[in-house]
Amino acid sequence: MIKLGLGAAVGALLAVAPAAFAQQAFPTPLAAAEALVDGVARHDDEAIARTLGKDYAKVLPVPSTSSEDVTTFLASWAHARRIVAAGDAKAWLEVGRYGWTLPIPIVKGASGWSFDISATADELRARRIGRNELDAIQVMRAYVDAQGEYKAGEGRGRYAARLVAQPDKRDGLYWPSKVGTPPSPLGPYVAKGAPYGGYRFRQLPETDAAAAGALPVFVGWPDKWDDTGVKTFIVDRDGVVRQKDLGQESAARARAMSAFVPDASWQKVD
Amino acid sequence: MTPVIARLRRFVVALACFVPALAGAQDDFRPFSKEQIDQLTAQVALFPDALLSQVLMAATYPADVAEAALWSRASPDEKGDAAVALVADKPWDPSVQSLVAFPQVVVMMGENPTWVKDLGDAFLLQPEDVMDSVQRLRTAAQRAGNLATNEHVNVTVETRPPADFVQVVGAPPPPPQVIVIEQRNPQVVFVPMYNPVHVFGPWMWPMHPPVFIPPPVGFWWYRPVAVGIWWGVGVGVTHAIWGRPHWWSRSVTINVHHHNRIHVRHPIDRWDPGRGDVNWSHRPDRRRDIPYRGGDRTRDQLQRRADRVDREQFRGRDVDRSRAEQALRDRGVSTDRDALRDRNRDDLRRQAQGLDPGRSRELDRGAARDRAQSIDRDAVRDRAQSIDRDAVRDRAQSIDRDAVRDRAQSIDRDAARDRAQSIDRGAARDRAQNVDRDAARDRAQNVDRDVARDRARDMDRGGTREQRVPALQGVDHRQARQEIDRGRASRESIQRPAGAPAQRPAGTPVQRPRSAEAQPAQGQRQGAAQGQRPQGQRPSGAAQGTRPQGGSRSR
Repeated sequence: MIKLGLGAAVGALLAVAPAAFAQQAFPTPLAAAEALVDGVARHDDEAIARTLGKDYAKVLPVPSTSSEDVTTFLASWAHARRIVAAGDAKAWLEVGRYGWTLPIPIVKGASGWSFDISATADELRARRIGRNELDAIQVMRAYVDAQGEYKAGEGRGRYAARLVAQPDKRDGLYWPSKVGTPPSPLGPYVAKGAPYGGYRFRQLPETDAAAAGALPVFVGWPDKWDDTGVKTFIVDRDGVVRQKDLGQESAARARAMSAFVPDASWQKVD
Repeated sequence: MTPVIARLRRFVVALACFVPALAGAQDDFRPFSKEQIDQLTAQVALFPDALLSQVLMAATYPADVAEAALWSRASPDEKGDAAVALVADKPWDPSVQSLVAFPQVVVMMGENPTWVKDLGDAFLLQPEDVMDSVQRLRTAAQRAGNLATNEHVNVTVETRPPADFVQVVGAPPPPPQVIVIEQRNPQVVFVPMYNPVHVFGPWMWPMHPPVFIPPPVGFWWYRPVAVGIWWGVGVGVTHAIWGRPHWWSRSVTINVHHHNRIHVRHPIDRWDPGRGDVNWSHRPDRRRDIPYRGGDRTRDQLQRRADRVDREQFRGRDVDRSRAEQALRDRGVSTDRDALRDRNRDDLRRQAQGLDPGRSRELDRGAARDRAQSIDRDAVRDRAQSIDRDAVRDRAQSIDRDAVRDRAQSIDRDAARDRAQSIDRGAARDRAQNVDRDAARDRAQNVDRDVARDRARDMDRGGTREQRVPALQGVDHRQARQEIDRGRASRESIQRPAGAPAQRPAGTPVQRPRSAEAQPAQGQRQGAAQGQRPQGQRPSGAAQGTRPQGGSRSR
């Protein structure tokens, strides 16, 4: 009985132990960064807990096995690192050659500089949105490429009026291709409207203008607004990519779109 | 060191003199004639295929070649992979860095910058003509009795295109035959030395003698060659050669596995993960100051072509992703948890294959579930058919020992062993040879089953073995900065109702005047639109929304 009680007490003590580390503050942002990287390099979760605070595992779990992410990070750190100030009380750690910053800001408190992991989730979400939006813009331009290819080949001078070809026809940008034949101008992921890189895509139905030989309008909208993307993109009849934030109802509004009338609210994407 | 710098300085001066001399030529929009192209290719037409493709790619960066030639002259004993490693920090295109493995080639190219530039321009603007010219000259050399299989190379004549050859609509018809020159040992390259005036028999175009660059005296590879070919000293390489000409389709492809192994600092980071080979494409941004034939017009044209090639991967043909889905469907799994785990695994695999890991992460939970649930039978069949194609080509092209070893090292052990056991060279070759639809489909199904089994096993054991660290991902993305800036700008530009949290509950309509929806081209416009709201109540995020949108990005 006593033994059991002792075991429980030790267990409780162990459970509490990590929380006992108070988050450390540093005289400079760089000192904070160095302490963190040192902890990561040594796989020392206590050190990481001290620099990030007790909830560190949600943000920066210490990998039990080798992790490509950690290796790449450390190699990039060895290559280049600097502190980017964002105002007087906030700074980011920039690592590597491509301007990447650690998504955990370093903020100035009463006792010095320390990492603020509460801001990380938001920062990661912004990055996801940024990446998806950049990729979606590429998809919009790839659609123009695909239509151009179709017009020069299967379409014999006409743009495809639909994304997915009808069975046994090649009247769309995507058709299943057989072994040894060139692929259709567009792949199934974009053509069939499934989420692709956090975005969905559709082509607006044919109108008089399309029949007259103009490029059919193409729309891409975030699958989850403010999570997988913010902007909705459009390729207009001239092949120009434009963007606009359609808000919370982005998906419904993009799906309901039947014709595109260009106006100033659709900003051109360079 | 000082003599090198002095030489470099002299070179720059020489180049400066050389550029105005070309000024007249750069306005020349006329294509090279057949005779002119034969003049240009004669010097390298009998090089082994892989090396020839490296020379052609490198020749499109004449300024880099000139510097590399100086480097090789200064360190004449550096060759092979070691030499390539030594120049990893030079600002040269990877094709030029790779060529340093062969000092005799680089130094030869350095001897005649005009020839390099013209050869490169011909390859850029008339690749088909260059490929045909090489074949024409090889045929002539063979006829003259100077080109045959020996202990260094295999010379084979193909009279029929491979089974998977596709005649592209509008492209010139395939050549009647092609002569292939392959190293006997892929890791030992022999650079032939010959006098192009004699080796092809009587030269076909008396008015257009071939460009001949006599090997410079005094290097270890030097030997005067009067008649025939001297195959020189073999240079051992592992990954330095990654180009391959496709004579039937008259193009050059790159083996990404090899390329990324040797050019660690300039990896091809975004490519279709299932494919080992990608089409080569010239990067005008690395050309530096040497003008193209045809001047700026050519540069624009090449830039558009490069952008277009970059966008190929955004056409929604992701092979790996479709395989993953197929596996999910096979197992009838559609829960969020499983989708999440699968995603982690896919991340791993992609990273192991050298793909930009960022691409795989945006598959969110809902997306995976949607896909697993909403796929109808036709879609499955469609996809199975299009996967077959890619799967077959993948295997035929991209499975080699290195790839297997790479994977074995970085993917988890079981998967690697499975793969290593079932993939060997013979099998890969067999597969490449008897590609037919049924076999291909069978195989694709097997693959999916294997993938599914791997995954099922993983889950039984409680998830993935390697932990991802989201907060540390993306350090090596070339676009890291653009992604961060764009994401922040887009989120900041959202015009939230006063005092509302960043995340609105779903289904809450946002009331806002139409004018406020407008995306401001400039900061002041947004300020004006928002002026309808009391300043004090605006969330701080929106107040910073005056940053211009991420449209400033350029690729």
